[in-house]
Amino acid sequence: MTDIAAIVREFLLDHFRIEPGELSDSTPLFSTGLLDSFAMVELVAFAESSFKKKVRARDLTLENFDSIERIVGYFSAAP
Amino acid sequence: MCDHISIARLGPEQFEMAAGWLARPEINRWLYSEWRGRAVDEKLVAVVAMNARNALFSVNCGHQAAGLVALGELNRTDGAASVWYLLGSNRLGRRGVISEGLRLLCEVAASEFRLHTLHASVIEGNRGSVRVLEKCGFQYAGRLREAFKLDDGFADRLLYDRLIECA
Repeated sequence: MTDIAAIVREFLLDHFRIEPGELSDSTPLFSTGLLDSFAMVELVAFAESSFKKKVRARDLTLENFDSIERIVGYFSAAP
Repeated sequence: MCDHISIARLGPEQFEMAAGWLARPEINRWLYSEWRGRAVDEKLVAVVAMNARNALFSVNCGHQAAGLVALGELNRTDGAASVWYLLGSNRLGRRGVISEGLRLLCEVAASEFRLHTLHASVIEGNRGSVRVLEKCGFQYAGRLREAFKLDDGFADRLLYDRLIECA
């Protein structure tokens, strides 16, 4: 597991009280309702702050943010 | 005035504009508690738009966006959703713009989303919003007592619904 994945996972478990068994790197976070819109905004703000990369509104898509592994892919990519 | 009113799925280039409308005090004060009194920015709109339980549309006068109409709580199993709406630009004419936008949204709800019923709630005292719903065929369905927190107390939430026919 990458650092980004570990940091995001820890945030999700601590902040949203998700059970560890419910959350793998490929678990859909948003499309299945595990996180609501406002929780997702908090996650994005946390990730921006942690990984020093501003997220553009047009990048807020399920392709980029619907699972830990997709978030890793987004923040690992060049700006 | 506006000769041609249409609706179109809200695009990323419109998120900032929509956030500006949602943040305006005269609009924000009527919104659900999740939106009220918090910073509304384009990222929040983007996330709400990406949620499959929502569908946001701009209401356009010609080529200019004048407001929003939206489906929320989309439930394809029951064929049900809530609606909400706002007029963002008074310059483009108040009369009937959002009513027509909501009428068009009802058509889309039937034809694209295959919905059967729509509902809305309005804070008691928001007479303009009630007029919009009634013009679009929504009927009064009940009252949730003191379900809206005001600065100095509570207000009732009025419920409206409308059955729609799938195309």
